[in-house]
Amino acid sequence: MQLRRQLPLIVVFVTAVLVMLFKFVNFGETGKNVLSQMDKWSQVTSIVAFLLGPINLIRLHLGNVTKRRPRWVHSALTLVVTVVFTIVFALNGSNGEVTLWIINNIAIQISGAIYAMLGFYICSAAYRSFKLRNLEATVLLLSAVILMLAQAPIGEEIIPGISKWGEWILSVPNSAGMRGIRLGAAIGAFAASIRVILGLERSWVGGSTAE
Amino acid sequence: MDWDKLQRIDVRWIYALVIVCLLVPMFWPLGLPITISENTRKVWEAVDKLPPGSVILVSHDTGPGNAPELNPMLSALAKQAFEKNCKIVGVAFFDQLVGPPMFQEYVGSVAEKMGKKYGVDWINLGFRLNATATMRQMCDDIHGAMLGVDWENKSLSDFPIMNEVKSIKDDVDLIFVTTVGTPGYGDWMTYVAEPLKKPLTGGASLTMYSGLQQYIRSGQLQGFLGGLRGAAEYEQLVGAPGKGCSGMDAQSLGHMMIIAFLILGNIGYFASARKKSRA
Amino acid sequence: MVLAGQAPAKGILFFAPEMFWDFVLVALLFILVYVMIRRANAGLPIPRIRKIAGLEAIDEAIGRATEMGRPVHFTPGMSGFGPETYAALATLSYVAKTAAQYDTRLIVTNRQPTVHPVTSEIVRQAYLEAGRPDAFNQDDVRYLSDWQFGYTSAVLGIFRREKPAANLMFGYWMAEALILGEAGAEAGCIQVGANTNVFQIHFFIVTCDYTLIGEEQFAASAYLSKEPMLTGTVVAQDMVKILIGLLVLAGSVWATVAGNADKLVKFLSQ
Repeated sequence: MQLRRQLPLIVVFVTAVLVMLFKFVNFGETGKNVLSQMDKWSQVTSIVAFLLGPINLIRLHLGNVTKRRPRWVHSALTLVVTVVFTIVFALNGSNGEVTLWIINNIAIQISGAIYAMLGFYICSAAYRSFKLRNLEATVLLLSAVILMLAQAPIGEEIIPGISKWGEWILSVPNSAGMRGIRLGAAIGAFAASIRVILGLERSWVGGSTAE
Repeated sequence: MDWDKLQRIDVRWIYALVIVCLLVPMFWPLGLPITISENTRKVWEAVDKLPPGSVILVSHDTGPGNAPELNPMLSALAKQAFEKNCKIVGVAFFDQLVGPPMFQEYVGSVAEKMGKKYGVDWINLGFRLNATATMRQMCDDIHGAMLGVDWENKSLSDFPIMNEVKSIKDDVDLIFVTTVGTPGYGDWMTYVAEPLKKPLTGGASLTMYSGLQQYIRSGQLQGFLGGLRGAAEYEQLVGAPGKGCSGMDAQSLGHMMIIAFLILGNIGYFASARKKSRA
Repeated sequence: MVLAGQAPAKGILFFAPEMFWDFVLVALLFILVYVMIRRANAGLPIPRIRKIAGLEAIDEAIGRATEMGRPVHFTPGMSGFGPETYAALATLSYVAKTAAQYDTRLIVTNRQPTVHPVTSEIVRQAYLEAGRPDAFNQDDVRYLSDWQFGYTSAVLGIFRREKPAANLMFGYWMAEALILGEAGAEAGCIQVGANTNVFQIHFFIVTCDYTLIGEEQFAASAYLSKEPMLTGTVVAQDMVKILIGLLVLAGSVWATVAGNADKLVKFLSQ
């Protein structure tokens, strides 16, 4: 049990040290080649891990069907679609005519429809959230209104010159805020990675954060 | 009247009105004039200052959802580039099933109208996995990075354009990225444009546009087109109003509808606050 | 073989080209982390982390779900293993333990097949530590789909069918941020969202009750565990941030006075 927890930590530490060594030290082409090999190993191991997700999916829905849980018909449909698509992909190949037809005419269309919900949700979210509650909310609301007018031709008709205001909001205060968030997030990610490399952060091996 | 009800309008009414606002301009276009922003002008200038015969590398990194925003940018770019006798080399890294066919459709239709030949004036290299590694390899060897074939698996050595274009480092003059996320503009900037000191421009979905301003200000991007509005402005600049411009009326009505609901919501909010303070 | 004798490209001393300052930054952070760990081990005082409302709200969210007898939904985000996901997993560990103690149902959904088994193990372990291993339900830790909007629509379905009272979205989020945030709000969930993606963070701000912006998410493990050693690493991170802030300020002053800061940029690009 102890080894099961410690082995991943050792693998992470050794890999991180090797990557840093080959990144920072000038080994020329050799360094690039070693890093490229490590990329390939990472891809191969990911493929094995990739199977775990679908196995869970099938197990869950099979359980729903066999135990006749509520809405088990949906689970049955999921299983049928999974099996049919897998067979088609296996027989027809990932670039086969039938495969591409299914992807283009079913998967992409459904995906596009879900994405298009953004257009509706953006309206209801704005309506619900943009209230003049306090100073910050007022700034948020005003800048949103200016930008909405600036981004549509009708804005210029209502308030001439508003697109310039919109450009200013985007390029000055917005840029300043974005830079700050990016900088903080990048350094935060950096420190979080160090915690993982040093084994201080262990929740991902199924343990407590600090043991 | 019970004004505070205005902050509890059933969202289904909002959704129904969104549909109406998008549909109405299809039948009754408003045809409002579009002003050109500084960022769009910079994109146009980046292409305009290229000498005839220059090579533009286009990376159409879009998915199905954002394609309507980004596809019109490709048509406008193709028109401007082909008018200047520039050549276009297309790749895609975001979505295998959307990027290459859309590039073929939108650049191809402009090329056909302008008498430009596939394989001579433009080419579609298709999609490759492992974007960053491929981009890095393309800096020195485009043929190797794309495994020596175009998007239909035809040998690159059979196309005259690819006898001239061997590497980004020596043969590409401008990188034009239409982007919706990762892989996208960030990888092109980090692994190609910055190390090789190549100009980078293009367009992004409107949700990304605000986050890109810092790179335009720092000069790492030579302007950038923001969503459908950016596409419409670019279409106007190249003198070819198309899908971008026609989408602007729907955008105008949609934005006005949101503003109207914001006003109603706030009237309701203040009415409710007043009621509470009286109680 | 890779060790064929190519001449290394020119860099400073033995450093790879343009990597010297990257090395300095990494080394500095390692040293600062080491110093802080030493201080923590020696029992010396470590600065406390300021109050982060989004993390404080986790208990409130789980408490509300418990009162209402409805489940808590947690997701570690859309990306594979990276800093955001590790931070999300640390939060999941805390959420799972709290949910197990309160006997509240926890539904965890995954987009990444590689992250799924890890979340499953974390939740199982949390129930074990809470002394209730039999309460762990494998079917509540779910892999949905690795297709972005396939996953999104599956979560929308869970909101509709299983009506969680709390929705905790950590990790890295993209175009689905608004869809999930707004659907969660419509379903009446108390929501905590965390994101480092500047293109999408505003959507969590308008749809969630509490939002962890950027680096706040990375402080989660230290904040929730209150472990001095982990807090020390957050302090080290802030020190580096102050240093970089000063560098940015120096560059701005330099560019303002001299017209440009090309020399500084060139120096730091070595």
